Amino acid sequence: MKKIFKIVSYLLVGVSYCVADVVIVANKSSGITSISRNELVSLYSGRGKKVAGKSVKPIMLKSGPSHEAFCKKYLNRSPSSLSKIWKKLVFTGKASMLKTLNNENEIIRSILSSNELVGYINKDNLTDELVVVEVR
Amino acid sequence: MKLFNVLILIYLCISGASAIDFSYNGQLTQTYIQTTGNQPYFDKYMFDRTDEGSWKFTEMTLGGSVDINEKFRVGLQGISRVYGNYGNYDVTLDWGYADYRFTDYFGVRVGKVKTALGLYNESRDIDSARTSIFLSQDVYEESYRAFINSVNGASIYGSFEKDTWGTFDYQMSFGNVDIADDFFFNDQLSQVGVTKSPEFSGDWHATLSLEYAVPWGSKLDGLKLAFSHSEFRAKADIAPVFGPRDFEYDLDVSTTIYSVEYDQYKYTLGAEFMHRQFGPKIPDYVSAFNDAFALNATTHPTGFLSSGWNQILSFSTNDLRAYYVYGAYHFTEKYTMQLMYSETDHRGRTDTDRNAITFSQRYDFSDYTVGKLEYMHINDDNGKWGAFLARLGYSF
Repeated sequence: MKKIFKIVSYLLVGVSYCVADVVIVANKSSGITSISRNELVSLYSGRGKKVAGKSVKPIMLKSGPSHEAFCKKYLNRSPSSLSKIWKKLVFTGKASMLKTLNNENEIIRSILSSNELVGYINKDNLTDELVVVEVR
Repeated sequence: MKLFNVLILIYLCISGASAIDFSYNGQLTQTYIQTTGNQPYFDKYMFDRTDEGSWKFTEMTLGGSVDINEKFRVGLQGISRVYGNYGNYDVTLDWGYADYRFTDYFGVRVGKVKTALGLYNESRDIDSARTSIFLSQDVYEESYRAFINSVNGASIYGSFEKDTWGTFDYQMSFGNVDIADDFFFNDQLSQVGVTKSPEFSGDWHATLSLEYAVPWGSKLDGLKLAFSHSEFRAKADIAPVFGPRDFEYDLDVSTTIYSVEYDQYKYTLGAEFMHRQFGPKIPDYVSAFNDAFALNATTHPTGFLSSGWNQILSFSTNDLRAYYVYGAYHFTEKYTMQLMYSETDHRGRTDTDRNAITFSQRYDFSDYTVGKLEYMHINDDNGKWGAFLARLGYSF
């Protein structure tokens, strides 16, 4: 029994190491340095469009470990729940589909080209040109 | 239709301008249905008995929207459906409106706007946004769709949120409904002995929807509570096959829905309770006719004059309570299973009471393609019977 417990513990620890450490990022010149959790949830649920009075557009990854980690850590929703929320918004005309990108390099490139965009990437892929947005 | 043409014109003009943010969306679903035993649950509204199975269950939508600027957007969506015996791939306008969002707290939509009633009325046609094929037919009855799907008018909406107390959304709509062309409604009328669509005058439909979500990170994060209420009023000319003569009656439909949903990473739980009162006020001379022949829905045998006549008279006691509860578990990102129990209690009547257990499975083959399997076990006035459905859907 103890052995099984140890094996399960190791597996769980292993899994937790595999979960991507995701941070919220924006363009350095955007002036966005922090965001509340509700503001973030609101942005990615299509309700809110502003942070501290500034217009903000969220972008997200299509899939992958960083996308799953973001959904769990910051939204507490599964990626499929998030997808359903956006299907509802788009098919009822309430919002245009938010920009969905294939990989983190595309996220970085998009954010560098716009002051309005907010996205998320694995902490390991951070560059000096990006600012990490603190989630309050 | 004028509204439709104007919106198309606006849409085409604007989509031609390359600088403007244009997006489009569409979906196509094809469903196979097979039923056992008697099924007034479907038979009355949608499908004949389908022991051999039927493919006559197809839905398509195509729409698009344009963000003219940060605050202003216009869009429209067409819908085409074949529902068993109903529909012939006719395209109708599902919604089409101009939306001006002054702030996050307040916005206005004008045109044909979807009605927020319960958690799922607005998204009832969006297959990819849910696990089951059918929504609970006790709360989101397809035969009632035309009354509540949308209004030609306007709506106001907004969202308030604070980290400490969560998010509060509201939506109010007001307008009239496209009821005359609705195939379910007209068929129901023909079943109750009415030879032509009633002509509504002075009709209006008002809806209020309030939704509260607890703050992120709190113990109950993921919990959503909602209340919605709708009032439909109309004067309608009705022409039964038999009866004293054409008459005008006041139609008054009141619907209230209480909703709760708890959405977590791995599972979702939800329940809704609906109370609907459907009260046509029958004119005195019709009531006198009824009294003279001692006709009413409970004492008179169906078919003496027309079964429908009895039903029309019985509408005056229409007090419907329905609820459903469901739980969905997301086994993987692609595979979800859902179990739902649903029940209708028609006060003062027993012939329309029913309950159903629905087991649904959803598999996402890709971001665009979804497959679903569903089995419904229904217990109603005609006994126990089942319905099996399989659906393949594509959306973009």
